[in-house]
Amino acid sequence: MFYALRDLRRTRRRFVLVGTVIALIAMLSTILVGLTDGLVEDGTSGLEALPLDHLAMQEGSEAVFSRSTLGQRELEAWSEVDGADVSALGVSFVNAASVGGGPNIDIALFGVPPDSFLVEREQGRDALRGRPGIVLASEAQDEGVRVGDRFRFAGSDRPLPVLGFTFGGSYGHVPVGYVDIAEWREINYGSRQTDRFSAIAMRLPEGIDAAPNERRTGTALLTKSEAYAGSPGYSAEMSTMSLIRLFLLLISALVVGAFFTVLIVERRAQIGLLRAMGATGGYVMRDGIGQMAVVQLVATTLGCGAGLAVILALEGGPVPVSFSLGGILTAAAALIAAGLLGTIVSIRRVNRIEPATALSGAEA
Amino acid sequence: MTGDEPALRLEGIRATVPDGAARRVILDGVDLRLPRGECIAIIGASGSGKSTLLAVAGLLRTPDAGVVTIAGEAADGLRDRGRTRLRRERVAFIYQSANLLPSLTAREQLELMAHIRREPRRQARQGADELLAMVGLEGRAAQLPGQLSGGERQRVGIARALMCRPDVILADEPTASLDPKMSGEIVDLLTARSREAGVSMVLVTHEEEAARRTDRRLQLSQGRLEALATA
Repeated sequence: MFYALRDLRRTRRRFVLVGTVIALIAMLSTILVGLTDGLVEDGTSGLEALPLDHLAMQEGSEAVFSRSTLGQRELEAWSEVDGADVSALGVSFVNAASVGGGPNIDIALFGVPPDSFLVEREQGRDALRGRPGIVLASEAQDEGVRVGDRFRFAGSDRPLPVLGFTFGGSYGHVPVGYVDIAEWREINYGSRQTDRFSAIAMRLPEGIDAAPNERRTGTALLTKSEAYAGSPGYSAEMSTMSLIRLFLLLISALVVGAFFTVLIVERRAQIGLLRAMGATGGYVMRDGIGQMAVVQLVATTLGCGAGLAVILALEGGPVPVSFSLGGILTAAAALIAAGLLGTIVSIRRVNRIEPATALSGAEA
Repeated sequence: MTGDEPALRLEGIRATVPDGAARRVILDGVDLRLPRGECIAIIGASGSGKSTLLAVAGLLRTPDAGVVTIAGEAADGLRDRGRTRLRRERVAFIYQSANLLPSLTAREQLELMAHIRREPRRQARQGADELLAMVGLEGRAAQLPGQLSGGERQRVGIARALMCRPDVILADEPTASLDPKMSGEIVDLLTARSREAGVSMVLVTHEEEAARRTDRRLQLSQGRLEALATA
């Protein structure tokens, strides 16, 4: 790195263009990480907030709550698992029409038994046990909803008041609302008497063999993170973001590789001189890769910093973004790796430069 | 290398270049024996093959036939890595236009030589400063090539060649771009410092005056080397 570092210091203007492009790619990549995390959070934080680690859903439902209907028989079968906390869970998307002129809102309605492990706070239990009503995620306050507002849900003629707000997050990009599971059945099936619900929420002990129960009940056991895939739009959003990020990596590798190819052609005589001085091909290649690694490291750091500033500026606004240091560092490392891959592919040209090129002069 | 082993020996060197569908012979059975410490000049018209001879002697180019032996080690049969090692340890070049790396200072041009040879940094810096002083460039060590005159650049080139303590220096028309006064000074400096260091030198030039300052003159003509009478 003797030559590379000094050359970089004294000819840094030569690297400004490629550095700027790398920094812009890093900035875009960082923002995409923030957007991806934001979308994940917006789509699944309501489910993530529930104190469960597994869900049993109807076989073939592919983690989509609306495709899964279970009943008491399945619940009892799973309740027999030693050491397991088990609860019915109803999940549906409803439109809540304001009674009294307030805003209409869409809600991911979670029906939970008030005495189950899913309702951890005593205050929440009391609210759901008392007069019929809904506890909304605090995000609903941003839409102008207040305690005491009354909503009529599609499928039910009985208006329900807002009992309070809790941190519940959102599911499928709409705020979560909690109701007693009996109320949820009334809203969804028009009857409190049915034993139907969407899924069985569970806290399972480590290392249990769930297969016999799955076969017996016709259910599929999912971890909480596997269940995220059922959130509306989740898979499409993740695929789109992953594709964009993959293309960014590809672009980064190509940009760095193309720049480095031009640099090698431009410095043909200098490389020939180094070889004539007795530098091995490995020495010259290490120098070149090291030089590009420094450029990429600096440019990526600056780009990630700028991207982070954008994320922090957007956080809390209408665009769903979220800051995750781990995600940003992983994306930055992937960008640097892609750039280095581009460099390594290009640098093989160094070996084609004959040391005799030195006789034509290096002082370009 | 044993005491009577020449610094450089060329035996039956033949080199050709593509010329349409055929090949044109540039060097046709060149033999040369360069004892340790001797400075010789090779003169010849433009296109006579002087630079090709230097490239072959310095292992920058593989001849079509013949053997190059440097400090007792024959280069034929060596692969690229071995030739690079031999060049690094035994040979130094001085080029027509000094051929300095534009982004390194005068001192760093010499330190780079030591870095390639994996010599300790402090020792390299001290050696570089001593050599720059020896060629009259004390106080110019921190200058970039663009801040040096043509003569100064060529002095840096000479110091750089001596930096690797070679067995043989191959100088390719080092005074071609200098005025006659500077040209004489550079050749005197080159021969004097080479002799002091006990290094053999091949000076390729088309200037009679420069050639006369060496121990022996040879002429390259029609691909063959012939001795010229001493002045």
